[in-house]
Amino acid sequence: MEEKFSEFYEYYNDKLKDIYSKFNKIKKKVEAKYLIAMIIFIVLFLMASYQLDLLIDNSFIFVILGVTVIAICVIVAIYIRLRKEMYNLNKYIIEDIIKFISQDESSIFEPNKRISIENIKDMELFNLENLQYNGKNAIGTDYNSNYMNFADMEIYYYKDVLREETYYDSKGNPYTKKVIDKVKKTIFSGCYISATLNKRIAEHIYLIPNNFSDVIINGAIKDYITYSGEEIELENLEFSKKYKVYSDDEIQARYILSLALMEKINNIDEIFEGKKYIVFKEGRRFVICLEGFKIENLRKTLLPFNSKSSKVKENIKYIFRNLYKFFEIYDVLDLGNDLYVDKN
Amino acid sequence: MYIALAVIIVLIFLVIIIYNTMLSKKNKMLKSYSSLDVMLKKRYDLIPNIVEAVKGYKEYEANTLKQIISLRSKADDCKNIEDINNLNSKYMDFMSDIDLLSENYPDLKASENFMHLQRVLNEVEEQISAARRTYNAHVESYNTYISLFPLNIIAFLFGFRKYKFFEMSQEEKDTKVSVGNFDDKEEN
Repeated sequence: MEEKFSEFYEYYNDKLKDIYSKFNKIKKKVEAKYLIAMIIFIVLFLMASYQLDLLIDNSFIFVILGVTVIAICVIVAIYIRLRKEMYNLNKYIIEDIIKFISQDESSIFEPNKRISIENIKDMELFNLENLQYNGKNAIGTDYNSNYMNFADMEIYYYKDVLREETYYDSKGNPYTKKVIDKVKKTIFSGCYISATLNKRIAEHIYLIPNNFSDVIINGAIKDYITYSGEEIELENLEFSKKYKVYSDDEIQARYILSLALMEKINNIDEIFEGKKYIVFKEGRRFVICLEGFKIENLRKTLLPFNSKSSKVKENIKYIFRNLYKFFEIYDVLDLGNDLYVDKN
Repeated sequence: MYIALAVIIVLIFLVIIIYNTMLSKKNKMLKSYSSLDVMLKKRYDLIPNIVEAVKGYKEYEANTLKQIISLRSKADDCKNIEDINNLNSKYMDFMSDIDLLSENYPDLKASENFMHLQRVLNEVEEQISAARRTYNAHVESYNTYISLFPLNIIAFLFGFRKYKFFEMSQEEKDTKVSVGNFDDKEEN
């Protein structure tokens, strides 16, 4: 990864200068606009103070305090505005990193788009009749002739929680009323990754984290998770400790989950530590949902306002390292080989 | 009297439950055996295609060719796992030969037709491997169940016998794969 990053950083230097020159232009405009606003506010404040006779000796301290407050407010507003601008520019950095790693110039990063409902339904993992979903930061890229999608995804439901509230009538006597609160319970919050599988299958195969039931607060698991099939016990003990495998076709499950692949799936833990839901979909599709990992966290890793700061490289490296992990999964699982089926 | 009757009824129920469990395990194992058989036949069905693909590079003697093609019909005659194991060993000899051929003729290895065949073979071999693992897992579960005391007495009374595992031949273990680079091969 280090080598790849150095290569990227060298290649990206010129583009980074462009990003900073764009940012500096915006910065100058924002600063000018806000400084004019600050001067107007201070003048208005001073005029008001003059009208109210506050510019006399004893009250002069309040006027200085007022001017300082206005100045601080404007500086904070400038800072917030510039952070927002940097947040917007971060989109291009993420997109460029994806393009560099995947070597696909047509890669897209759409912060406001989420995984389509068809994709989630197609996974047949989460029961959308009882659950709601949200998401953003959709990325699409072609890596080694394999189309991959990533996006932040949140699956949740609202649970009715009954509580009693005490009120008082006009005579001061207390009485209670039952109130229903809607409390949000998250089933999954993390990242959705989908890629093409190098083997063909006819039935879904589900790998559910062994401790999944911990996240179900109330109600039957089947209300929220729609996997089907018989539980299959596989040979790799470490793998069996982490996942429960369900499929309608045991031979097919073993065909996909070869001893080598189980070992490789165990190795994903070195890349992502959190809980993982894996679905091998009918046809040739592979979906992995990584609990806790979010592209939004990378978007919030902003570059410092000063292009000469050492944090510039540090932050880009952080974003690069985390985005590289998506492709590492693909490489670790060796999904790119064409040992079994023609790539096209 | 009633206690003795109750004990007998409980025992009969226990025997019925144990018998049904044994039968269900045996049926699962036999089902996985037939799936394995289907996969193996699929493999032998590809032999004529392989012979066709390499015919420009290797001239088989009429007798050898007949023997190779007959592997397919012999696959139909397999009655048990020993027969399958024997046939498997012959198939591996044939495939080692093809492997050697592809190493000696790079243009054969690079040909589109041969590469496609290689992928199909890899897929079939992986499916066989999966079917073998399934079969062996069921054999292990069944064999262990009928060996446990006192279940082994009931197994003996009802004629449940132990089944053999489907072993990978030595050639199969040694050969990296059928044709070309198949590095996902695994052992049971």
